[in-house]
Amino acid sequence: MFRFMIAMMRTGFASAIEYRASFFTQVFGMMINDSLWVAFWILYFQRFPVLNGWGREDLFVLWAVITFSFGIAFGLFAQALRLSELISHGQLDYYLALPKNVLLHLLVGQIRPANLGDLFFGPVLLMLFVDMSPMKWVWYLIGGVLGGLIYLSFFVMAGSLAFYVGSSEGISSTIGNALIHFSTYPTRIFDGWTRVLLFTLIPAGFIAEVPVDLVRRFEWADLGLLLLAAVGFSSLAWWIFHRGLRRYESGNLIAMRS
Amino acid sequence: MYVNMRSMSLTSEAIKLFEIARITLRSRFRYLWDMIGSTLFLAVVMFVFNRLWTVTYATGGSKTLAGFTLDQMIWYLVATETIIMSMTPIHRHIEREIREGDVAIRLNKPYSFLGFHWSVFIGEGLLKAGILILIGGSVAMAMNGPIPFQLLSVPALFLTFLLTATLSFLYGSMIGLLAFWTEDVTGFYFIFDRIKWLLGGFLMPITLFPEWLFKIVEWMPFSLMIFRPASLAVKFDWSTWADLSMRQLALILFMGVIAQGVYRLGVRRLDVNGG
Repeated sequence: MFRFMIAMMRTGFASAIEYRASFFTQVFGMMINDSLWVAFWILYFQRFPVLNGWGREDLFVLWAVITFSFGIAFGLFAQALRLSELISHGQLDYYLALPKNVLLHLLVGQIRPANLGDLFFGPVLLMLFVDMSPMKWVWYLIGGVLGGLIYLSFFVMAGSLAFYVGSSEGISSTIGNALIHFSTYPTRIFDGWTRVLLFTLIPAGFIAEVPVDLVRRFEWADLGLLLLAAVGFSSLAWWIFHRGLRRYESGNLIAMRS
Repeated sequence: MYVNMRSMSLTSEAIKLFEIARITLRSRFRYLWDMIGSTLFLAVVMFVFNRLWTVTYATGGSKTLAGFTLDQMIWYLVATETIIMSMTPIHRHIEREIREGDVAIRLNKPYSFLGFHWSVFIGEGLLKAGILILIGGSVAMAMNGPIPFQLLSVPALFLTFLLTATLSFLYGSMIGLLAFWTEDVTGFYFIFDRIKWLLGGFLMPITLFPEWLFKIVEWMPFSLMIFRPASLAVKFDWSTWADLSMRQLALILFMGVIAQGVYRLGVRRLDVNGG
């Protein structure tokens, strides 16, 4: 399975880099896009140095984590963003006819250069602005990968809505954007039921808060919690997708796949 | 005689563009619920902004920041979000038309290429803006309550929205027109659009910027696309409106000439294959 994923990603990467100028413009364009978000926070913290216990450096770690996680989830598994469209347009036929697992095959089918920019941006931001020990790098990478898995699982679940309600591109993208939006702000600004929501229905807390805490002040309990969340959400996504697949109706689509 | 002919042709062009905008508005009405669904995300955005700025004001202990009370700040963000989210990604439409050769189809049509896209942009933008104000306003009203608002300012703000949308259109279309020279404009879009966001005051008023940056940004065109119209919406007065309108009109003229020039240069590079 692992060899299959690597082979598919290598093919996807070769295909993406075919148009070299476009590839590099997208990668660097996204890195500059991320830099400008960070610039907003620099301006914010220049005016208001502390936000509910978080300082400027914590925001750097937050952005380093979420961009890296996002890059893993959608730079390497880009089709997750199109899942509802593929399902509602009956475009899963190709994957159904092949012996590999449908969800896995579908997810590794495409590389998205713009989000590879996110993937590179995170570590570069840390290298430039945050004092990192080797162990902090380890926790950062682990936290980022697990965060990426949660992003991916959430988008698979949101996309799988199309199995149940038909055309769900609008609602799936709204749900997905809600997770992205919540995770780009320090979740400590929320309290009460919103915090409960951010660790259950919209798991932004596991992406934006726990990995940042791992880097700031490591605790085994946080790592265990994050691991549990990543395994839990990915198992749930796997189950929901395969359960929904039983309801899938072919689009009788005959198409060339490049 | 020449003047009369010219004014007649301008009038007929304006009628065509108005009709295109009207038809777009009507056709988009058919997908009203879909549009409402896709703009519901604004409720999430406003909820997050409400928390961020409530905590910020509470930490600072001050009732006003850079001339904005908390309630004004939230309504300011409703206005900036409405401005940004109501604008269709025009760069993408233009890029696709150029890349797929559809631009050639418009060459022999009795209206200008940019004029046609502007009309569609405005028609769609007006409908989206109405929905966004409704959604964003409802969240702001529920969480923060109303702020003083003059009903008489509505027609003036409507005109401001048209001028602001036109500026955004010209900015976005210039990015899209780069597709005459490069295959993909996504990278350029990320860079130029986010610069507009940041320096235009999309996420926070530019009056909160450090003094040195504010002095630079104040003279850049971006504040006319976001900060000034949004501030006007929450703190309306007629002299500011008149001043803003004059500045926006001057910038529209300047950017319009450049956009048309870029389009003409680009069209010269166009190879059309019959079929």
